[in-house]
Amino acid sequence: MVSGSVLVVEDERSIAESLTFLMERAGFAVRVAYDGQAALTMIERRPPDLILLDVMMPGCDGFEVARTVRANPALSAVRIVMITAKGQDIDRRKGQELGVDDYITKPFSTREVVARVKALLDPGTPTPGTSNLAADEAS
Amino acid sequence: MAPPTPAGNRIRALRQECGLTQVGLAHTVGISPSYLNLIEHNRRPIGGALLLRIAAELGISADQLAGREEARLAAELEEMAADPSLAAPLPAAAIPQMVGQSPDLARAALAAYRAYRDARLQGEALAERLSQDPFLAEASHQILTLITSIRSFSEILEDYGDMGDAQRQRFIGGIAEESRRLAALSGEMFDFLGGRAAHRPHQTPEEEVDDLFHDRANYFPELEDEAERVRRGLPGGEAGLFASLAESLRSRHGVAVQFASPERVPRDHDYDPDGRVLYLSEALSSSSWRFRAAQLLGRLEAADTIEALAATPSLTTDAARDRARHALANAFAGALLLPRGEFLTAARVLRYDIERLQERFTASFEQVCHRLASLSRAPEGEHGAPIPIHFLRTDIAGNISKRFSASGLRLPRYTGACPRWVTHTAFLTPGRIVTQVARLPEGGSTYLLIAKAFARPGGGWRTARTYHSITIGCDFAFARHMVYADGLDPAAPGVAEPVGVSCRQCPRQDCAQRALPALAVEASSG
Repeated sequence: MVSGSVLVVEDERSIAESLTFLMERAGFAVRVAYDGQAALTMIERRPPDLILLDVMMPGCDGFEVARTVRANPALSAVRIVMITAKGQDIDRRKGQELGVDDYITKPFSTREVVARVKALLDPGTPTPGTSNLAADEAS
Repeated sequence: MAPPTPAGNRIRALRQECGLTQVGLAHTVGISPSYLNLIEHNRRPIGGALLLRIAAELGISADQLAGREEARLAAELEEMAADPSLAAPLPAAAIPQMVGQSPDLARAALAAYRAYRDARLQGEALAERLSQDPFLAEASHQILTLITSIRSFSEILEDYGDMGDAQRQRFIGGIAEESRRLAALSGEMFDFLGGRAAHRPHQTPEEEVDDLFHDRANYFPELEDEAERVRRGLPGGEAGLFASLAESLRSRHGVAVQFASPERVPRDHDYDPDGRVLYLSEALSSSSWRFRAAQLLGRLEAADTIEALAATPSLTTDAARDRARHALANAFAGALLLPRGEFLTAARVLRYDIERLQERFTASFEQVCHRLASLSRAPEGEHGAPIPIHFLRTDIAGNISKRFSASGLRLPRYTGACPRWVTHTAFLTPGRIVTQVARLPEGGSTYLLIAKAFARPGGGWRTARTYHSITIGCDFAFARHMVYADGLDPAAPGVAEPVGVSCRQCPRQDCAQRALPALAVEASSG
């Protein structure tokens, strides 16, 4: 049985609802933030094990959230899975540069979301294929 | 053009029309009749207060009398005659006659021409605007969001059969609701496309080739493979790459390489396919010799690959396909001289120091920059993932002659780039690399720009020089990999400079460098 806590950061209510359902059914404790600023407050109050982070949000976007989290050494254990839009290659590369652990492209497959989150939070689980991000060499 | 009628002739003719004698007019304006006689025969210049007095006496404006308006009309008509976009150009020889005999017609023609030119500029700016239209951008985002929702709900219903009825109903309701929104949005999209995008102007060969390279992100794995194959088969070793290329041209294709004076090859190089001779200007640098030789080798060795790429249906004319073949041969040359893996590894190790890369590969500044940008989408290798880099080449008048956009920064296509870009200020310190941290308006990204302006080397004292500015850049998120970002903190006050893309698309009303008003486009989603 997996365990862990996931923070879903997504401004679209219906997508947030799906992601919440999926994470709960996978056995995680789930919280939801509908914008970047709220996410940062929640992370500071109680860091989750993993953040499912949408890139495109009004105001403080996903990059800003990732940058802030990665700039804080106390949060270095927090895993970040970024949700980018199809066709926005540059977003994926920026996320990689900012130190996110994996990414998912919209419109995503729910099975893939669950598999990727499980792979990061419970390395013992068999992974369906490798991570989307090849590890960047140490720099 | 022929000089307009001299002022003296005009004074004489008008004086006679008014029924005045030389003595009478000279007396009225306070000069001697003999001096007026000299003026009327164009043997004395006329201007200042005297011109005003004579003009007043003859009842016309000083500008008309001096022929200044005629000169201006003629100059503007010449500009109009030289505009290649006019279907039936005005013969330049007809201009003096038109100005002299019917200045009203000349003025009317110019008014029409100015209106046409403004309309055309606006059309181009609109087409450019459409490519980043806020409605289209928002609509694509919404469509993606709705499809993501619908897909998630459906997959959940499929995979979790054990959920309660109430929950099942909620997900089914969600699918229905999101589908309705998707249908409404598609309707709006079609209306929008029918109304505005349908008017996309006819594409020129340059634009078609530009689009092909843009769509392929300037990266052609087929050509990279060919270049690698050819490089491996080159005779000699690395000692003299140019000699190897020339030897390969000779032994495999029977082509001789000859150096010629710049007068013989005004375009720097010339290939005679019948005589099988490649002429290279002795004015070129050795890196350009290599490039030209590699380019020809590409045309001969990778002809099938280039032909297949140029056969894409998006190229609709012979002129466009010709241009594409040329550009693809250039890409081949870049791939041959700056081999993908080796070059990217060196870029990483040397921290994108362009001059160090020039030394390592004996390449020009432009060749290195061009290659860095075109490898932005190359697959990740032992060198890591390449940084997404854009490339821009402008001349000293700000005309854009080459642009690759891979960094996320939009590069203008028709209008000049933002005057605040370091691309332009680089001309103030030619030959020196200058950098800029540039911040786009309205929550846009911050970019690191690196530019150098230079005169093309070669040629003698009488050679008309060409001047270019080359800029590359990346999103600041990647800047730490570049030596140029060392010590730069974009968050520190005064470090990031506010810029736009072009004046037409820039909302910064307080910019002292603004050259054109921002283009007001009506709220588009209505």
